[in-house]
Amino acid sequence: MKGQALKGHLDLLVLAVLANGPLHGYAVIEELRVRSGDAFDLPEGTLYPVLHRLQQAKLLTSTWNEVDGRRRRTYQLTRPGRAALVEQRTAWEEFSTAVGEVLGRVPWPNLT
Amino acid sequence: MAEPDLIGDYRAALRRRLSGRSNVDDIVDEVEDHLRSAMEKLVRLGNDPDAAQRLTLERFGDPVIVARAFASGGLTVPTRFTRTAGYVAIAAAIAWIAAGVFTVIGQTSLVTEFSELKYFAWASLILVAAFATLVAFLGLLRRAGAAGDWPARFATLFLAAGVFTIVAFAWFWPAGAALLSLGSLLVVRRARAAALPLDAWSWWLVLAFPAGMGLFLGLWLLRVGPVDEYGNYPIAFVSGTIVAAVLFAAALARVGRWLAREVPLDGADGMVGA
Repeated sequence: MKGQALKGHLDLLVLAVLANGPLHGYAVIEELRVRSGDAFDLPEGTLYPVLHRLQQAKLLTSTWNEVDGRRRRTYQLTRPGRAALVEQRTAWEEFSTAVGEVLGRVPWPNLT
Repeated sequence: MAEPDLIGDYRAALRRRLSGRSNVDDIVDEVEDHLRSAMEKLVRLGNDPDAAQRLTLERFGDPVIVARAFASGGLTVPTRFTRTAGYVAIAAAIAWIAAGVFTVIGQTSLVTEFSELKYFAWASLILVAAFATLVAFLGLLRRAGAAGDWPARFATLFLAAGVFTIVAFAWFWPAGAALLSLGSLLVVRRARAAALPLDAWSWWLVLAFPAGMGLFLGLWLLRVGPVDEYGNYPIAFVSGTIVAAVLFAAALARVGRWLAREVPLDGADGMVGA
């Protein structure tokens, strides 16, 4: 999936990945890559501004610790973050179901 | 032979691109942790360190693109403060218009005689307008994700100095207006760098007072209209003030309307729009 198409759903995806527990930035991005089966074609670095924005919106919190001599930031979902995840997931499922209903009534075009 | 430290070079390049941000150390530390973690994983999978570094950096993205992502919205969200600043900007626009109108009907010998009471009322209006403008601009800077970086600090300094000059030396308003314009220039440039959707009208936040001053000086040099008891040209003064106030107010109102319309994301029931 190309960046522009993905951009509108990044908040939901990041919140969903963090729903299972705290993760640092690299782990969030790895989890996104693995769960999507490498479907998302986006420079990894552009996801950090998303994490920071979600933190600024108080949907995530973060803590710093030291690992292998490096500073590492770990993100965690907040209570408003969980509420936002539920809300966005519901909206996505309603949208997805509605699109599926429309497409399901249209036969695949015969390209041969 | 030692491997080239491409990740260290990347860190330095990104740091240069993000210079001025108050949290630049946190950003580059976090990025370096990501890059070294990714590289270590690739090495464990059998890649040689040099190839692992290159592949890691390729996946992470060019520092220009990453820095642009930080500048163009990643760190900027509407909040209750920015929405309030939008309402304050609209109030400031009304106050500037009122101050301009009051200049005509209360502050010049064209319509009424000068009195200390009228001067006090006029100065009070200017105080409200200027102070509200400062709050509005602080909201715009916050919306641009610029609160705390050096351009934002300079902008705030110029705006505060402009407000002080206008309030303390009301009749010497061109000096205060020049400082406000300089502060506005920094704010508008910063907001545009953050890719906020400001239209061309926002430039009138910068140009309104110079335009008013230019008109004032032009009419004064041409000696247009009568001369008052202090040897001034009231028509020049009134024209310059009105033009500056109306243009500045119009631009401020447009920015304020945009800020006020955005749904804040820091409310208890707020959510981030996908």
